[in-house]
Amino acid sequence: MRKVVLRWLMLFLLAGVAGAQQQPATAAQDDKTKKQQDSPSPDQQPKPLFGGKIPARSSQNTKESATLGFNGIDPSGKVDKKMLAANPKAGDLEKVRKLDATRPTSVEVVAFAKEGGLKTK
Amino acid sequence: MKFLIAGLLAMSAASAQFGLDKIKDKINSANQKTKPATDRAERAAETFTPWTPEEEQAIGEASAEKMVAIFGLTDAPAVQRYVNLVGSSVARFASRELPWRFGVLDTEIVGAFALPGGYVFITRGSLVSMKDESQLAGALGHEIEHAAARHLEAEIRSRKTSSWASEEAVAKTKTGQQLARLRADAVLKDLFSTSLSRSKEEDADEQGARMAAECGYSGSGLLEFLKILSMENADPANQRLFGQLLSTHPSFDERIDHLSAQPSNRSKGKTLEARFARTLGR
Repeated sequence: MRKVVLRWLMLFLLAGVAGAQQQPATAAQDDKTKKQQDSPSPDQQPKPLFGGKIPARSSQNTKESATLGFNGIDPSGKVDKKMLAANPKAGDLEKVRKLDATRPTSVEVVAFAKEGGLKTK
Repeated sequence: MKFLIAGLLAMSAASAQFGLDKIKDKINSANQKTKPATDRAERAAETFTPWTPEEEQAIGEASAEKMVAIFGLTDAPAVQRYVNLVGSSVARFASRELPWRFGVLDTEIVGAFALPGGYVFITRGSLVSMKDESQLAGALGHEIEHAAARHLEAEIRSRKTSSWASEEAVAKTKTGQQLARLRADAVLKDLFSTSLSRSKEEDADEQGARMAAECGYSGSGLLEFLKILSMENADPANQRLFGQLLSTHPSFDERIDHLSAQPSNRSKGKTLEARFARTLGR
């Protein structure tokens, strides 16, 4: 009977030691997962709109670039015929008219030219 | 007796009506025979009559609307304004005054587009490839010349493309905005699918560089930009970026050769690299 109790006690202790050894590893794994969640992968990071050098855009076949970067463009780089046939959406005319409304005045253009040391005509 | 008289009257009226109908039919058939010839003449006359300023604006606006529908505009007001200021500075030296409006299209492809009426678009991908403001000025100058000289309109009319002819035929039944939209469809189809003549592209390069130089920019901005694009195009991974541009323009090397020989290229002026980098957030 005593032997049986001792065997169980030994097994219990061994299990406890093994668990304690595994715990730091699990904790480290949890930290890693959390860090991965906090910092998005390079693909998910917002790209600067105009910054940097033109990349060798290997992302050209990704879903993201197909919908964002290459909107309206077919795989050969030409404007998609389907897009060409599509009708403008409700807000598109408004956007075009906004371009007109925000046109710089001649005074602003001259000031901009002066600032850059360009000819003011 | 009464019935007999009424019957005779009815018969004579019917025969008179029949005679009139015959005459009407003959007139109609004669009209139908001559109508296609009249239509052809009208269409031919319209083919060579430039759009009025009002038509040009309406077609330009409808084409710009479609362009925005395809690519969208970048959500960067400071950059949009900057491009407008650079473009408007250069456009002061254009051969024709127009209400110039510049927009940045939200696409990675490299390109710029001039639409009737003074609408000029440049892509985000083009701006990313540029190094300084003189390059932007040269590229916008190229497009300004296309619009000022009505290159697209003239090309479409002279070529009388099938799409344009069919749109024109249908256009006879449309008015106002419907008509402008219909013509905008034809304008964009031609803009994206056919190339302007080599002489028009060379003219746009020459005049674009000239305008930028007269404005006080380095006259070699456009040339330097083309050299960058030529290098980038050599990388097969970038092919998709240049597909549209190269399908409608001469090769970069041909344009570089032509532009290198132009006197404006030697004009020393501002490159404004710092202002360009600051505005684009580099």
